[in-house]
Amino acid sequence: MGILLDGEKLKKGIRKKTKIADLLASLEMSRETVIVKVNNRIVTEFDSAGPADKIDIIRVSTGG
Amino acid sequence: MVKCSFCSNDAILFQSYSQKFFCGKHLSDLTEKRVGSNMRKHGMIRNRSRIGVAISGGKDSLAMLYIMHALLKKDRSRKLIAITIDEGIRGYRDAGIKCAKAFCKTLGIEHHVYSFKDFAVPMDTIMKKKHGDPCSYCGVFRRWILNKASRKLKLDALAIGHNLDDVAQTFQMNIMRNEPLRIARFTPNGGLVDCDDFVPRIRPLFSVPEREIVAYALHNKIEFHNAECPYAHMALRNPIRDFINSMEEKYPGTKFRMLNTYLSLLEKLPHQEGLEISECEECGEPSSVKTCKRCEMLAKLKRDTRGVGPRKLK
Ligand SMILES: [Zn+2]
Ligand SMILES: [Zn+2]
Repeated sequence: MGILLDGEKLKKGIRKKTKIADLLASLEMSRETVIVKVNNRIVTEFDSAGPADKIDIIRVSTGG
Repeated sequence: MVKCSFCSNDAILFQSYSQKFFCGKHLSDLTEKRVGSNMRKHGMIRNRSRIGVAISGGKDSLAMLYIMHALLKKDRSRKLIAITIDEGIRGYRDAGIKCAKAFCKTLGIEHHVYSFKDFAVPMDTIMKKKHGDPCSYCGVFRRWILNKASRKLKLDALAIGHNLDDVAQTFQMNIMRNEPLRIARFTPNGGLVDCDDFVPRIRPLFSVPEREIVAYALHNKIEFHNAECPYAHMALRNPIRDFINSMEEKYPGTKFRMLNTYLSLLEKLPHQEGLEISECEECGEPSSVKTCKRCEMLAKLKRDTRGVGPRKLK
């Protein structure tokens, strides 16, 4: 389904089941700066997502 | 799915500093408890009945309003009044104001909007020419308008949505800029000086991590505006934020340790000594110098732009 960053689709996808922490590391994102949703449910970095899942990365540091 | 450390629900957040997992309900309970305890411990609403809440439409301020509303809705002696500042940043602030308005309507909270175009100069106009750090103009103008509006609305205090990350960043920045007075001014409750013309600022979220506020807002279906200010990339705050976040990732609890250092320093910093507050000669607002920072900046802008100025000078 693909990865969205603040609603915008990223070029990068995942080919197999991947831990969210590893996905963030591959995108060079700090866990401190994002919240991740998989199929519209908020998950922790210890959860995983697969190629068929919709992954939303929401950046948290955007002010007030 | 990973489970909550306190119940059998799926976790939505891992707190690395406590090594605990939280489901939406338990994260909400914790966040609300923290805000309530901050307000009580620091006497934020003690003997105050008209409480202003500054909201931008972003996650911090709307979550703060949501929690304060929940905590105070049964308290008939207190009233919440929301204020939004329109800084004049097209395509950015308009969307935030829309969220702020809609949210206040849902909660049944009185809401007022004040604009830079009426009391200062819109940020888009300022940024058409290079004028240094946009955030310093924006911050000075916003604070000036907020104080004036708070007095006009007869508020006893004004809540600002600064979270733990903001406190840690501000502390770090003020160390690097050698601004001890600014460190002393940025307190959970009130400011550096007791002066009737300054409406005290309160910061109910000061110990809540930014990331937890976003998770809280998403879990509670708060419709907030999530976008970065187009001028924010120029701010010194950005590299500081990245640095503190990388330290937090390596050494969980860094932000709380910074907060605790800050709170213990506050008690030791000189407070009102040597600060005489009188009126600004230009606008009549309280100021420690002859011309307040807002009027000084306006004069500079006027010189640089040949005549740009606010509609309502006083
Ligand atoms: Zn739970
Ligand atoms: Zn002035």
